[in-house]
Amino acid sequence: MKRNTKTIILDILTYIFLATVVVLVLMPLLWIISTSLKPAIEIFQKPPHWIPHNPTVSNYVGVITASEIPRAFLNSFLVGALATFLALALGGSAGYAFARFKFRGNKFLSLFMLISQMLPLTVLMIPMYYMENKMSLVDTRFGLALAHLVICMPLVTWMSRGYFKGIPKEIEESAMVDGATQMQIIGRIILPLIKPSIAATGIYAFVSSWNEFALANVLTRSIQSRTVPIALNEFSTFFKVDWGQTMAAAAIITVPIIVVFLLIQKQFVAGLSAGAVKG
Amino acid sequence: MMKLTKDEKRAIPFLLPGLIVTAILIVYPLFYIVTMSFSDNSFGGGGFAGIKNYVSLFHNPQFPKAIRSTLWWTFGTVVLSYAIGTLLALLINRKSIKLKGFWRGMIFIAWIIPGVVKATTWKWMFQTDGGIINYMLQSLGVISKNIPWLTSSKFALLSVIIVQVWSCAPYVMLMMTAGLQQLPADLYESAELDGATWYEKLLHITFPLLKDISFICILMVLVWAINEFSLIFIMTQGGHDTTTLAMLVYNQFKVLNINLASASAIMQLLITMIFAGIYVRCVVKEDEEE
Repeated sequence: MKRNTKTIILDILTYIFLATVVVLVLMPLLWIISTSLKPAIEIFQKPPHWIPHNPTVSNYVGVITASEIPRAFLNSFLVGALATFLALALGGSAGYAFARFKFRGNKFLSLFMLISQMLPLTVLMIPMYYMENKMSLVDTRFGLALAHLVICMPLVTWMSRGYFKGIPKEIEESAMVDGATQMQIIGRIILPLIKPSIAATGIYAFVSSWNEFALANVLTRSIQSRTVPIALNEFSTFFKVDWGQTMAAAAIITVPIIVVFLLIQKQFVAGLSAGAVKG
Repeated sequence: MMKLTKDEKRAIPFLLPGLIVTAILIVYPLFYIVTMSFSDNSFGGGGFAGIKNYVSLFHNPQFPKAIRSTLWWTFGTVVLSYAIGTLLALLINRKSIKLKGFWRGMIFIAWIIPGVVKATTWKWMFQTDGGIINYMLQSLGVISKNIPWLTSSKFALLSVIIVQVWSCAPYVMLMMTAGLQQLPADLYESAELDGATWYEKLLHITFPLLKDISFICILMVLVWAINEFSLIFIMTQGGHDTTTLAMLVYNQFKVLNINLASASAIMQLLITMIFAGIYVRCVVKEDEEE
């Protein structure tokens, strides 16, 4: 009986603590929504309040019709799609080679891919800028997509290596005996087996590109190639920040990420423990 | 002529395109920045300057300051993220707690918010005048005067650490949860039969068995901290003693002091790679055990 009371008290304390943490986690999100729905005069009103007195969507209208954000969305999408496609094609096949074939340097090269995920972007930023400047790739979406391959390639290679390793070699060998070619085996047997994992890896790579700031910050100059993170930061670096529009833009950017996360929550979390190390 | 085995011949078409791209986009840039750090021409390939850039970096008063900021920043984020993340994992994992998936999912939201959104929103909340944090602390009676969170050397580093912990602790929670779920239940049952208290179980069963995953988590958060750029860049621009090594590299690059920036970058690279190397060793150990 005594033990029971103790457990109940502990449970209540735990729930209170967890609820507090959840409030702290959600607070910035609620503040984004709250600010984005306030008319300009309410934003700096004292005392600040959570529920807008006269809610308005004018900040969203402003962001969508009169800012760089829609164009930045397009840029981000194209950069992310190209980087993801190249990473899946190049990194995926490299990952297959690492998982299936014995060759000299296999261990060294695959570990190089793992450690590459931890290279500081501030270090790569400098040579990357000079290389792309020489080839007139600065301020182009193609140039930024190439730069993002630095992040996406090692990630896809390492993750897909793990997935390919999970498929028993015997499946391939028996298909080989039946006279299937290497390409048939990959196209008809291997890829269908790991389709969900490949999709998750691709989304992981895409999100990494979508969120990337440090490289985009030096490799883009104008709306030609500026991605969403850079466009959002532009909002809040003006001398007088329009927090209403800034928060509306923040909300618009965050929604797709949260939707994607909810869709692939399981694979996303599995990817984390599979060694996707880019934050 | 090197003889290729049958497997090697089959591997080449899969491997080569990826390796060429890696060589151009990762290996060559690293080679390039090493060269620049030993050169005295801003555009590389110029005169060899020996260790001149490193000497001037070590004599630059900003360098020890950046090292000190990096140390505090890294130490603060790692310790707090690990402590809070582990506590959350342990609490949610308690047998009697309901809605485990709900709690984990809600807390994990903090980790998936895009970095720039995170930094911009917290910058807005930390504003000295009109910021919601000062207002809430005042109405709770914790402070009587507005705190200049992002514009004083007393609080700026603390503020960015808070935000980094806010997003990294959920990651630690998730990894530790994965570890906790693999622990053998019978070990706890027999410990309970022997009359072990909760902290004895924690100290003698849980923590020793979670050693490996803890180590990996800590290394990960540590490497992220050393490499973090956007959060500090957006929230404080490196002002008020928040210029970490990563920010220093950027600032020197921005004023086109390329050789000095390269030397700083190499220092950052070396520090990161020490920990990344330890991480890789852990992963290899696990890989081979499988």
